[in-house]
Amino acid sequence: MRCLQIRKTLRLKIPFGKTILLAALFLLIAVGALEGAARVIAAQNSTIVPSVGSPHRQFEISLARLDAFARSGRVDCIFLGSSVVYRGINPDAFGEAYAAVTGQPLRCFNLGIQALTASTAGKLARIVVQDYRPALLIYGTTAHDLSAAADAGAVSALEQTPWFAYRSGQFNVEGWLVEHSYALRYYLVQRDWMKQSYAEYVSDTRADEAAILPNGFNPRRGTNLTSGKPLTPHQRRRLARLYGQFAIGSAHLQGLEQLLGLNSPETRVLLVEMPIHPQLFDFFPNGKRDYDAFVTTVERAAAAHQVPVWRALPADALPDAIWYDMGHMNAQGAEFYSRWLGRGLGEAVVNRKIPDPRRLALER
Amino acid sequence: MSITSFSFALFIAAILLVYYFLSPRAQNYWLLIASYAFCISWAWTFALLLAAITLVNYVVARRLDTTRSTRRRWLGFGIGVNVFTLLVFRYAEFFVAELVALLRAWGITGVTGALEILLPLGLSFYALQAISYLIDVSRGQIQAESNFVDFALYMAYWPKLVAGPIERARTFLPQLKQPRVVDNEQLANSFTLIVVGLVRKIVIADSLASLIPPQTFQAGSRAHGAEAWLWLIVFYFFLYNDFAGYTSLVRGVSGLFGIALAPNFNAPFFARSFSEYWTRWHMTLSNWLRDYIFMPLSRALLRRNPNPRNLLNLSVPPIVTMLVCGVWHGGTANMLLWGGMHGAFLFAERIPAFWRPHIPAHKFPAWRQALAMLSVFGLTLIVLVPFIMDVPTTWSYWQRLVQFGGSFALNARVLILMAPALALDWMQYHYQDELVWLRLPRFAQAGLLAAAILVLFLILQSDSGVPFVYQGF
Repeated sequence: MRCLQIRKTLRLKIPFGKTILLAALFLLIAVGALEGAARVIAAQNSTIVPSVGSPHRQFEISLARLDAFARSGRVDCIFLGSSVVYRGINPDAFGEAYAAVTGQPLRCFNLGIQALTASTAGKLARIVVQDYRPALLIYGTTAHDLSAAADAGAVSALEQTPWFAYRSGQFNVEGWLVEHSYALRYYLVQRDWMKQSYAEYVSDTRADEAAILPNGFNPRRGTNLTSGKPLTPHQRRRLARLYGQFAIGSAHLQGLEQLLGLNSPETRVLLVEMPIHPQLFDFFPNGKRDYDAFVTTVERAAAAHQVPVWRALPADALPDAIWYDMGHMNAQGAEFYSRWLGRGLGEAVVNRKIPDPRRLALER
Repeated sequence: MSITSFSFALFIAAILLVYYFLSPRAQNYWLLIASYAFCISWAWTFALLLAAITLVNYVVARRLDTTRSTRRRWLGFGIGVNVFTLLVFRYAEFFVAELVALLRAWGITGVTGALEILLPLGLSFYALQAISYLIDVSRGQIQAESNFVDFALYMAYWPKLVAGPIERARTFLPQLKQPRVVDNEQLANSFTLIVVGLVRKIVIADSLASLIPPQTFQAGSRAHGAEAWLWLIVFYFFLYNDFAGYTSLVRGVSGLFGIALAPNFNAPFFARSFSEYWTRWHMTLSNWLRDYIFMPLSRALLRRNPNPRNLLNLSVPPIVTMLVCGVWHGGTANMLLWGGMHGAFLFAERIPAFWRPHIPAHKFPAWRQALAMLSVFGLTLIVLVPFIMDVPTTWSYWQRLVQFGGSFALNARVLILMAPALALDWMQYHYQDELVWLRLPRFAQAGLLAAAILVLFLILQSDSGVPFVYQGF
């Protein structure tokens, strides 16, 4: 019998590892069967939202919605931003207002991700443009997105996930597997089945799945402000931390630059300032002056990439009824603001200040 | 560097790659370098302390071997150094807290950071190894090791450095003197131990740990009755599989180097008596306690009063031994309570010796054996409470164990995870062979291996990993 011998220590009779090879074969068969089953389920049942292994479930649901949205027709434009966009942009209202001015319908999707900062938005925008090639990428921004003190939480964890790293150009086996395996994506939804918090996770997921519309928008009804409730200490602390010593984070500015760098004849990038509640200025050390400095920074960065910036309506010109809380608009506000934005964009297209996104899409 | 991490796997691969090409002597040097590199990956100060302890014990053992007249003094000195070091670092936490409070009372602040002392990696384990080595040399059971590299490797060998097994010099050192052989059988044994270890640790222990609600074992918890019992059983299974998984893993890794490490667990939940339990649970520690505390104490008492049925002869050795075990585990009031109660159980088991000779458990009918297993499991479970909690919380938890009422739904996930844990133990117990898996037909082995790899991969997708419990001792 042949023998593999390295000095006196390693003495292996050849062939060896038959059991391991057989196990590998079994593994291959099992994985193949699971993958086949997962693809059949995916084709027949689109209600289960797969996971990319991120800790940000809303992001995953929104991404799956975008996927379904793209499968059911072309994607003319994608709104990207934090929860301010997620709650504050109604793509249907936007499209209708735009169509009323231009006579051309516009099919848009809201990819607002809760707590998204500009740093992550830059990387995410690259993935989204690569996958869906929208004619228009609209980044709705606020001071939060660039604040050095922005609490990234689940969003920064999102960047750490293998799938995100893989899609951002850093090859890793796990990310590759998630990207290509339906079975793994479906398993990842249940990956924390043994955790104590699993039941809570399932109910949160179900609530999000029910609330997020097919166009990615998640409206909030009513308001939290008119009831005379003051801010909770937690909310006050959070706002004080975000804006109390407001400074623009370098990683966020870099992310913004990355996003603006995607501006091309195929995909036009547009920067939209999201409206700000007048009382929020009180949290900045120098009030509105600090906020204007943020806007100037954003405008300067946008100008370098020939990206137009759409300023929001002045805070005092906004009706009180549009606010859900100090940071977010309610469904009424989203309707109001999206229509205003759609009209404005339509007029800009008609006046040839901005290229026609429909034409861009058709030219491709 | 955690031993279930990817970096640890790379570390093993890198060391093995060089190891196989070296001569036996050079292999020892290489393993010593690797052991210190592993230790430094935690903290360089840990390596410094390990080196100092090693040097002291080496010198003392050489003295014990050569000087008959001062042997007792040298032995006392050697044991004293090890015990003192252990106590200083083990109990530093309490002393430092007291000292800082005292300094604050005197208006001295800002020294807390400088006084913070971290329990050095594996100190509790290698200190016991050093003590056993010195005693064995002084008894003339082994000769003092003249080769410093071999002795240093006995102390620092990295697979056992973090949490044992507590090896004896008489079994470990001879392995360093002879050429190590890794053949097909050795490789199969090692891989089996590694896979079983990973399944126990990652699939069973970590998953069970993530099921336990965070506040369950803390003051203020409201778990009672069936719920309190359930989480206690889950913790018991977690603790066992965590430590048994760790031991299996490091023994498997060590096997790849051709060095055998002692087993630590042998289906302890199937023990039919407390004395049997301690021959199945943390075996290397209980053997150490038996040889260096229990037996010498028993002999000393028998010399005083040769009657084996004397109350002191029957009660003192087990109780003192288990109290020492409690001291080793932390020395806090709850650990002493845990050790004391185990000692009391061991003593209670010896009471029938007053009127009849000892009857081994396997001679009882099957139903009595099963009942005995359940009793031992139940009582060790109750005694586990002070192992986890401080004394006031222990008392409150014990009270809540007997407060029944209210509704509680059994968590199916617990059963899903405990079933394979029991199956692993039952196989080991039934066949009296921890490598029973290698006796199965090749197809079954391959099927089990494929299933284990798949489940491990899937479980690793969740971030529920917890550090090894005994890593902290």
